[in-house]
Amino acid sequence: MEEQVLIAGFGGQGVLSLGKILCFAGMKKDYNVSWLPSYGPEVRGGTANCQVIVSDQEIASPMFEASTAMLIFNEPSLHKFEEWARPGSAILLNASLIASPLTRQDVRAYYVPASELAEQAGSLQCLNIVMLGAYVAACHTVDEETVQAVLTETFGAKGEAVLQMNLRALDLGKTYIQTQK
Amino acid sequence: MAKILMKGAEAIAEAAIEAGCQAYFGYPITPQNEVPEYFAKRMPKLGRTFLQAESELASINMVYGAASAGVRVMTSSSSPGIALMQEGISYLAASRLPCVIANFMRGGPGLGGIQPSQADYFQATRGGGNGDYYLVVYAPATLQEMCDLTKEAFDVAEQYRLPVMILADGTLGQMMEPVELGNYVPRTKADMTWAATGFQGGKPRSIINSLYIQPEELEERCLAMFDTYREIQAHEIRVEEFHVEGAQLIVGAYGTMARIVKSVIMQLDQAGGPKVGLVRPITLWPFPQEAFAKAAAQESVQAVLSVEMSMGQMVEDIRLAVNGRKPVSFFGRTGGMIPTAKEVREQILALCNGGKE
Repeated sequence: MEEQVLIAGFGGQGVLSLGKILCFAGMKKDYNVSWLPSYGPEVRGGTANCQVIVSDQEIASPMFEASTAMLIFNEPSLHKFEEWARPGSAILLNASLIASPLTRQDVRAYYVPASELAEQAGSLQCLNIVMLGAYVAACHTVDEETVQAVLTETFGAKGEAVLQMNLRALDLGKTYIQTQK
Repeated sequence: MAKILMKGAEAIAEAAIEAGCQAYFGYPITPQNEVPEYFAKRMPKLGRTFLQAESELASINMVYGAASAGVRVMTSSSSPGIALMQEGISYLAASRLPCVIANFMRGGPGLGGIQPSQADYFQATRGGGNGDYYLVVYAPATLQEMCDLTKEAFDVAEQYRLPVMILADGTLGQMMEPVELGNYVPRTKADMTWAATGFQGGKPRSIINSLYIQPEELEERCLAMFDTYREIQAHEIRVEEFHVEGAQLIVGAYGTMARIVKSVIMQLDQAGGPKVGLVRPITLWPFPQEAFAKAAAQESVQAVLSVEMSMGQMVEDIRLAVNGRKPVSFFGRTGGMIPTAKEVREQILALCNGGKE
């Protein structure tokens, strides 16, 4: 098993930290992980992306040519990365910000109204965790309990309210995918 | 100890702290700003020294000062910053001072760009400063290896009394991987009586100097340095060989580039493609000449390919090692562009099919 996840969006949407959370979850399951961010003249509101690999084998290159899953947070990222998706792979889109549908027909597309669901959970800030919940339900690389444990470690220090909001966001993303099936 | 997820630039700093690095002097530059940031956070709490100097030139001369007193000391920078340090590095080598210098290479020449590169190979392995000298140059490929080599670098620097360079690229500075720390097994502590630590009621004078006006004396100093270099060549060469035996093509690559090549070789194996081997130098100086010579001498080998994030620098060492026995070719991207797995695969397949796709 080697999952190659591309996460892309605006700077400030939690793209890079979502990649880290996915790594932590993979590590909890004793998988090898790597996290490679785009870096450069990135600013808040500009584009940000990271490549995350979760594998039961040694990870040779931290860069991949084609993703097995893609989490796209905004429209420019969709246009930039759509062609990266491996045929048959999953693309999860933040449908709240992406108006145009996928042009690819050979992928599994999931349109998640992530911004709305995040606000429903308590704040737009947990947009990335909504997308994570959707990813967990769509791809099964890491299970929900493991991700919940990582969120508890990540947000625990920020207080119960923040933690609960993120757990709600995770659940809303997951439930949305499950009810779409 | 459990593995922790760390950014490369932070992991190298923590590894240095574990190895007993007492002082860090540096000046910020992308893509390794997290190195000074991490030291700035940790060193004062440990009662050790962190100092952001006014320039790279100041940093390397502060390293010279601390090293003169026998203190475990480190600096780090990226390509243009390392270029500014070359005078100091030559002086450190000439004065036989141990220290660790990390270069997270970015695109050049000049101020260049901030994306990963391997175009400082010549500068690192040939002596970027003036005079007859070498550094020990380590080229880690993973964050774990970077941590382990950094710790060892401090020991090697003291054992042979010379600066040691960790030659990484921007990718290794910016990416995250789980690393295991707390496993440092130091070498036997080197004799440090040469250090200028004060008179202490009768200690002989310690003179740290790189100026020798009498050519006879200077030559003698250089010859002694080269005795040390031969000792290093005999004992410290490190190399990883992957699928080399019976290969049709030998690829030479180091650092991040070697990881991409390795993933291509694994793909080719799975797809029943041509048999390709990787020789990955872990020490760039001393260069693993013999590993390349032996690998290329195999009857099965038709050609050797060097893949680099440069216009072709290590390929010269590979050519010297292969010594005309097999054709050596080169593929690379530069300016901060990283050869993709697809590009590397195409190069490999073209060579394996005698130039035909």
